[in-house]
Amino acid sequence: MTSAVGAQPLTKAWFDDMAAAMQADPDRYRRLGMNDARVGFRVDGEDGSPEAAILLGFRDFECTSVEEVDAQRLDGPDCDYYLAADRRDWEDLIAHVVEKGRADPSHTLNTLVLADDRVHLRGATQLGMDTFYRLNASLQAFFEECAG
Amino acid sequence: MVSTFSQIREVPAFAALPTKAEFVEQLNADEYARRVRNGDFDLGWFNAAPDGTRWGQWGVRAQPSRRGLTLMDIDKASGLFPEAFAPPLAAPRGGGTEREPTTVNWGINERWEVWAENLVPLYEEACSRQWSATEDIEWSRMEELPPDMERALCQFNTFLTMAEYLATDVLASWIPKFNTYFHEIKLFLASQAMDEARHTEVFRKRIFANGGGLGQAINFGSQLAQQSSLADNILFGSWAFTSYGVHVVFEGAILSMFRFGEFLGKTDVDKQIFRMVMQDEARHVAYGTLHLKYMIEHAPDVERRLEELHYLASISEMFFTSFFFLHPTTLEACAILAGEGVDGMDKGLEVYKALYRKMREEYLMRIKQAGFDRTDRCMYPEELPI
Repeated sequence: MTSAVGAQPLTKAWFDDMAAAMQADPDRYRRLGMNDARVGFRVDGEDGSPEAAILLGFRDFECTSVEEVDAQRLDGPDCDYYLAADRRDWEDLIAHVVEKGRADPSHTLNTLVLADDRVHLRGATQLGMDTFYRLNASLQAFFEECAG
Repeated sequence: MVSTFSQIREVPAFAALPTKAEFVEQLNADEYARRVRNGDFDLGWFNAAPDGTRWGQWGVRAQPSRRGLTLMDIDKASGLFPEAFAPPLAAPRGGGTEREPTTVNWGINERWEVWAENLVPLYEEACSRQWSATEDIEWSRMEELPPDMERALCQFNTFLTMAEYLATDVLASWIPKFNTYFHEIKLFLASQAMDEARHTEVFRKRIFANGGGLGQAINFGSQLAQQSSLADNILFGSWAFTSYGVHVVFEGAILSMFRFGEFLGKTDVDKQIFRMVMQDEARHVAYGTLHLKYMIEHAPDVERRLEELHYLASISEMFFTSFFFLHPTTLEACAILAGEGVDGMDKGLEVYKALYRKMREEYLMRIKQAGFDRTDRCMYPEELPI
């Protein structure tokens, strides 16, 4: 599977590319508004155990840090919330966004998370998870950077 | 010196007014005006030492952070963080006053009554994340929906339009009660009033943008609106109760509805609308939740207050279950949308019930995190009886 941002999807390099794409479009993200959040992405294997975890730091209008972390760290105080899905579901979602150029109505992050069958919203606290709702348009725009 | 403003305030309604000539003559006789005519300026404010009496501070140079100059930046530079008690003045925090400042009997003068640890950044976030219902929704991408779906969506949006009126009407009336010393809460509620206005606007625009029209108004709104005018009503008799009822219970439920709206949206336009309103609503809920936490940690006589709050919470939960989640217009409109048509209502009802369970779960987790555990007392039933 490929993504328009170049690097192998769901790797640190891929998220680095997404962060660079975000930084290259400051007007768009400034229009969406300030975005202070620590957001995780967890990639699970077929048996449901975590294969990889990435922790992103958003500050003001940029993604300021991308870290590969131990999956357990996403359930701690360093992370406001994270999105967890099987690798195959992540790859399907990314392929869809790349093909369409953006998420269609059945593939927005909130829609997938509310259905709670393929992509799951997790976090140590409800207030942390509420950050997903509060800053949702920024995260959706960030994720759609994979379409290039 | 008696100000012209205070003279005006002392004039009984509809009392005889002086003629303009008489008024000008009064002004001419004014001692300060006479001194200025002679080049004798007061300059008391200008020459005052920056000691907090007539002038606040001097020499403060707040440095902008990367996003601009925030309230956090100026608080840090000035050191003017709010103390526990506000003076009975109509002065900005840290400002000087006239020699004989007028005392003002604000209704709310203590920090615990208004504060939340996230209040200041949330206000900045509110300003930064404002959006335009006119320009930021891609109205040109509107797509036709099947008639039953359009009708259900118009009914859902009619309900939400009313809900937004309600939030503004109830909350905005509190702004004049807060001491100006706690400017943050006034600013935040003003931003929230703008949020609610924009929500009313966007839902009304959506209703008329795709071949539909306004649906049925429900009594829910008028009942609460009338109660909001009763200062001694338990629902709205104190800020803590109002904030809990509106920010935590009501907006917590509406936040779930907005998430549901985004989930149900079949067009990019509807997705965009609900994504944007969801963000605003989550901000309001975030203030309400951390205000609850602050109140619990700092209020005097907190055990009594918590018992009262449990009572209020029970009333609110019962009210919203009956008039909100079980109202035919809400329930059936959502069931049609979730079932993708009238024929799919049974399936849609299961989705609606799942949304309700999620709303309840999130509500209980939120308030428990704030230190208010209602796991065993919550009046929201575990399942809707449908």
